[in-house]
Amino acid sequence: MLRYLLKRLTSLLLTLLVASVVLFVTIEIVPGDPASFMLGINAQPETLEALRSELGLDKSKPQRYWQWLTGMLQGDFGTSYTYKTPVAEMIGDRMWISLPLTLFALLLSTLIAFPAGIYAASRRGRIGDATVTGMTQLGVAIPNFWFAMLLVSFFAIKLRWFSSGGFVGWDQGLFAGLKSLLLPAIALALPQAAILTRVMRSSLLDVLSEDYMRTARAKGMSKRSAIWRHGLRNAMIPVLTILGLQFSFLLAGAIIIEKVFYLPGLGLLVFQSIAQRDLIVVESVVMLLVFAVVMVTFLVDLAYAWVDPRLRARS
Amino acid sequence: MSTSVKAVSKDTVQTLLEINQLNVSINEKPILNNIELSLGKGDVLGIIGESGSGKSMLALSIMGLLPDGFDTAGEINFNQQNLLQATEESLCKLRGSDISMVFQEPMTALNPVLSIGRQVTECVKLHRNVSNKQATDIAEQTLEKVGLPISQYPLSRYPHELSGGQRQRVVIAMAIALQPALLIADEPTTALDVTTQAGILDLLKKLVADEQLALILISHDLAVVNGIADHIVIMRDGDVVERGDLKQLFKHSQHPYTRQLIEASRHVPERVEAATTAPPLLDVENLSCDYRISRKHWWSKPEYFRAVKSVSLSIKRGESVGLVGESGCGKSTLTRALLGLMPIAEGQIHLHGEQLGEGASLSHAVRRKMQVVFQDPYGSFNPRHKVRRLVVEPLHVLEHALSEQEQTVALNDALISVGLEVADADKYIHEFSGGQRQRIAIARALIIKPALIILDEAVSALDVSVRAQILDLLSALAASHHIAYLFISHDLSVVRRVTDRVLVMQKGEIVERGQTEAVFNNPTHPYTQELLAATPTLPDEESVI
Repeated sequence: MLRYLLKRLTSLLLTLLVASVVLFVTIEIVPGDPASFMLGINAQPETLEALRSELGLDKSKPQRYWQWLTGMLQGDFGTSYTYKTPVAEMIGDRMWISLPLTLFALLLSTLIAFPAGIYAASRRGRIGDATVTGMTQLGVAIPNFWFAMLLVSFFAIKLRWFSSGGFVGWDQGLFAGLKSLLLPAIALALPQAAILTRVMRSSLLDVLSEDYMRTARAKGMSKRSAIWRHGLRNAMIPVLTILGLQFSFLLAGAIIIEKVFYLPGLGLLVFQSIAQRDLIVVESVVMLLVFAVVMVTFLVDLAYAWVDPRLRARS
Repeated sequence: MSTSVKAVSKDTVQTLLEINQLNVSINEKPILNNIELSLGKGDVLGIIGESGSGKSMLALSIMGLLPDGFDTAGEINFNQQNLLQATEESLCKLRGSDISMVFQEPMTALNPVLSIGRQVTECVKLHRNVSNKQATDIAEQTLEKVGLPISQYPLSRYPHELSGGQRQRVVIAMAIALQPALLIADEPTTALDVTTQAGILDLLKKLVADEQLALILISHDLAVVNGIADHIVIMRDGDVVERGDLKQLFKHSQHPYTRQLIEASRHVPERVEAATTAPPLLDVENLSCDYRISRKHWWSKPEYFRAVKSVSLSIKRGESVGLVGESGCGKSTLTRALLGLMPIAEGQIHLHGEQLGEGASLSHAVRRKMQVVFQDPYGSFNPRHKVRRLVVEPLHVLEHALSEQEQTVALNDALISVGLEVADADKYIHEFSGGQRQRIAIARALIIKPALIILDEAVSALDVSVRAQILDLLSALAASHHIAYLFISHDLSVVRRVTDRVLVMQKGEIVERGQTEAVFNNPTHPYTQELLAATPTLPDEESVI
């Protein structure tokens, strides 16, 4: 088990290192000098030179990479070209919305998908199964911003239960904060729940036809307890994989929903920074996302090992 | 069909299981017809039938575990309670406690993510109101009883850490932990090696004797139930065609199907002896093959496992040579090396005097002379191609490409020589039964007129009567086309009937070799003796093997 962990951790660190190099090189290739972009086309060459040295753009590339890398390790992500504020602070502010929103959406999607998937699998081919499968088809097909608009027009405009957008801030209390994230979280969760339900259903169906499920029944278990005690854990691996992918997707992929609900999240930050050539922000956010993806993958790997003893043994 | 003869009718007071007029069907299609059976306490009943005879469905009917959609009629009385009328809840209470079942596939019958201890204790806790400690004690005692002492096989073991035979012992432990009155074993040893099979059969015999357990042993193999079952019933297409004492059935069977089954089980195909003066066709000298083992650390040197150790063998034209051994002995690795699918670590292979490339892909000239038929008639064809395309595939190794007309002639010849029809060329593979598929596999091997066909467990997955037909076909082809066979099998009784010489392989080495009859009659190596002793025999063969 310890060796498994070490092996996974090593590959995680290597991935991060490779990703940082690729990211740095890509950003270097992108045309456009941030200094001249910030000063406009009529800038004096001297001013430009001064700004370039202030931003550290005059140093050699390996030097700048090293500076960027060591800076990040110390929590210093540099200063935004556009807003002149520390990038770490900007990302930190947005994180307080994006991370809870992502977790909230994932929680909702799991809460919907697990029961729905188990229900559909245990009634394979019957009306209940067909209904759930049909609904997941709708959930996958309908874009989430459409859900978002429906939710706003019904719960915010008609019933006036929620505000139609914006975020009140966590200083208003946990409940108020969660309340203002509820509608966007639902809008994000529904399509994800549809996908997860389908994965849960098909994975469980595969497991149900396994010989050991028959053995469990021959031991005297009812269908239901056989599913709970022997089926679910074996069906978890594909579900965990999809959950991990959904987390990293939602973290910065919620841009349209952030737009609909006027939420200042990470997605919007990336979008604005790209438009303004604020490459240092783009670089930092992307690196952060890579870190999040790698971390989640690591956690998912740990979960695999917890679920399946054969993986523990193999490594 | 006569239903008046009761197989087992010792004493009606002692009757444990009584099946009356059992009919099972799905979508109006009958699966079991008017089954009548009765079984007393401590009796052993063997149920024999080929695939599709309904024997497994009968077992599942007793367990109340038929898949959804099956209709049942009649009575299955267990301890005077009609199971067909019982509620699901009361069936759950009986299963695992009073009636237990052991299935065919030990590799997949256990939940891979739970320890064996947990799986056995679960069974105890499900039915008895006992503490964890008591349940664990019962599990330990039961595992000990089935030959898995706790000192060597702690409860924390996972199924993947056990061999197939050991897993089957765990499954048996789960089944007998609560001392059920009836154990149903459905082909419990079919997936196991002969020596492992002998161990499991001995265990079942011991349990019957010690625990007053009634046993229903289901098998396709008459020899497996011989020596255990007091009585047997023969099933075919959902009917019980005959029942009685095994030895009596062998001597005075009434029913033609039983006779046919017994005939097929000990069928010896007519064979032409290969000329002893024939030059060697395949010559293998000191062949060794290695597998790379995954490294312990990335910096450690790669390690190898020698799966085949200096094996030498030769096969003459028209000769049939058997290669026997248990799983993991290296026979499949050897086959792969002969076919050029595996690098050779040491040694040489000559076919018709020409040296085969070391691990490299074989030349067309070599491939023309050698073909292979694999075990699984279901998995070894691309289901999207028609038979025509599947069978003509090897023709591309010919020196000169055949015209379409010539291809058709060759195809028709091949199909007819394996007993199929020309019209079969335009069918898909799923339209054929297992035996027919194996014929198609042979046709595919035959179409380029090879000198050597490697038969890798080619008849192991087939029913006895189909197997007898395929064996006849192979020996007829050997006579007419002068083909040599390397017959690889774990089934000694078949190898004995179809080969001239035999090689016994253990742990990568050939431990004994010689004329088949000589080796079987007078085995010198302890391993050969062990294999022969473990091979189940038919009543009339007992004196022979």
